[in-house]
Amino acid sequence: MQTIERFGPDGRLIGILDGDAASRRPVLVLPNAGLVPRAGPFRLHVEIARRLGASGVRTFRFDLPGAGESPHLSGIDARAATRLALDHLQARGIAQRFVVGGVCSAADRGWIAAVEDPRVAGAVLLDGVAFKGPWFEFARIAGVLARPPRTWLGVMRRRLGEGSAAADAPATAAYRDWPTRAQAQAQLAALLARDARLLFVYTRGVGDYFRDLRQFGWSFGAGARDPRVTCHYWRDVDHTFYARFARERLLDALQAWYERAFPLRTGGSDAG
Amino acid sequence: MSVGDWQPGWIGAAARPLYAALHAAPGAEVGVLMLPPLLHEQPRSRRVLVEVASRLAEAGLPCLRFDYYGTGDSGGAGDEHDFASIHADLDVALAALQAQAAVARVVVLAWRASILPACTWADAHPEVAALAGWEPVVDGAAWVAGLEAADRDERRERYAAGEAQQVDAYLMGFPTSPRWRTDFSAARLQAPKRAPLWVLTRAEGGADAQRHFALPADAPRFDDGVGIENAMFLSRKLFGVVDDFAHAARAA
Repeated sequence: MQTIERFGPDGRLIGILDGDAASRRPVLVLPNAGLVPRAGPFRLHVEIARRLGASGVRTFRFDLPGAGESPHLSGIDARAATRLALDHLQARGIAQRFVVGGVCSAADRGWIAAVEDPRVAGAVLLDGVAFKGPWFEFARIAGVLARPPRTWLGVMRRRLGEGSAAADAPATAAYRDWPTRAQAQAQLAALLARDARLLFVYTRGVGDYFRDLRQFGWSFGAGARDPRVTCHYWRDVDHTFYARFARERLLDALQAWYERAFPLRTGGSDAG
Repeated sequence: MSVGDWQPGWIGAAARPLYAALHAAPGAEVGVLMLPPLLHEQPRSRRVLVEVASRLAEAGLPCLRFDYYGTGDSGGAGDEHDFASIHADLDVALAALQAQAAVARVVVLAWRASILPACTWADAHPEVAALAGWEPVVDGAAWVAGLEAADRDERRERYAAGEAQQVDAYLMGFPTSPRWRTDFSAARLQAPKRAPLWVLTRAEGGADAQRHFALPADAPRFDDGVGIENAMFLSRKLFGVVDDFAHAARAA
C-alpha cells in the first residue's frame, strides 16, 4: 500500500511511503539521487519498494528541495530535509529506526545520516564513498597492460600530463559530500560500535575512483572486515542499473542483505 | 520560475492507483490536463512539467499532472502500460480534473509521444476543448525505431559485449510490453475529429495543427539521451510561450 506523506515547512516536501503498516523492520529511506525524481533512476526506487515490500520492509522515497516536485526551501538543504523526513516518520508513529541511502549522492546522504543520527540503523551505499589508494593504481596499470602494447605510450604520456595526486584524495571530492579517509574509517568504527549495518555496492560506473575490491579494505580499515558490513563490486554493472540483469542483481542483493541484517525475532520485531 | 502550491493525491480505483497533483486555480472555466512524456523522458521532464503547471495555475488555469499506470509513482509495472491502459488512465484523470477543479472544459497538453494515444482518445470526449502537443512525436514507428537504436547504444556503452546483447524487454531502462511497442509503432499524429490541434515546437511544420506556439531554441529537450541536465532549465522566453498558451487555453 502506498501513502503520500507531506512534511517539512508548510508540508511542502512530499514523499511516498510504500509497504505494509505491520512491518517491523527499519524503514528504508530513499532521498532522490541528484536531479533524478524520487521514483529513482529508471524507476529503481519503485522497484526496490515492491521487492522489499515482499520481505516486509517499508520504504519512503522523497524529493529533496529543488529536485523533482520539491520547491527550493530557504534554510533547508539535503541534510536537513533528510532529517526532517526521519522526524516526520517517527512523529507519525511509522518507524523509530531507519536505513538511509541510494545511488551516488543519495548514498552520500545515507552515510551522513547514519553518522549523525542514532536512529539510523543502517545505510545502503550504491556507488558511495571510497578512496583510490594503491589497489586502484594497480587495477589501472593492469588495465593498461591488458590493452595492445601499441597503446601503452599514449597512456603513459597522458598520465604524465595529469601529474601526481595524493593516493587517498577522492577524485570526485569536488562534487560529492565525502569525509577524508581517516574520517571515514573513524566514522565506520563509530557506526559499528552502535551496531549499525551497512551495504556497499560499487559498479563500473565509478571507475574513476573504484576499480578493485581490495580498495574497500584500504578505504575503511578494520571495519571493512566486520560481518555487519557487506560490500559487492560489480564491474559488469553500470551506475544506474539500466538493464534487467543489473536491476535484478541489485534487488536480489538488497533483499537478501535486509533480511540478514535485520532478521525478525519470533513475534515479529526485528533483531537488528 | 518556481514551483507553486499544489496538492498531491491518488486518483482512480484503489486497485489501480494513479499518482496525481492538482495545481488549483479557483473560479476557472477551463482546466489543463497534462500528459507526461514516456519512458526515460518522463523523469527528465518532471521538473519542467511542475514549473509549467505552476505557471498555468498562476494564469488562472487549474492544472492536473499525473503518472500513467505502470510509470512514475503510480501503481503497476512498466509492462502493464500500453494504449489501452493509457486510455483508461486518461478517462480517470479527465474526470478527476473536472471534479476537483469544477471545470467543464479541458485543454489536454500532451508532452512528446503522449499525444499519440491522446489524439484517438480525444474523439470520444467532447469536453476536450483543444488537444495540444508539446514537441509532439509525429511518427510513432520512427520514434520507436529511434528508441531501439538509442537503447542499443546505451547498452553497448554500459556493458560488456555479452551482456549488452541480452534481450530483456526493457527499452531505455524501462520494462515495456510487446503490445506497447506495437501500439506506438502503429501510431501517427492525427488531428482529433472534434477538438482543434495545437502544437508547441521549436520549428513550424511536421504536424497539421490549427495553432502553433514557437518554443525558444533554449527550451529544455527530452529526446536526446537519458541524462537529466539538458532538461532542467527554463528561460523567461519559455514562460512567455506558456503565457501565450494559457491565454489561448482560457479562450478555448
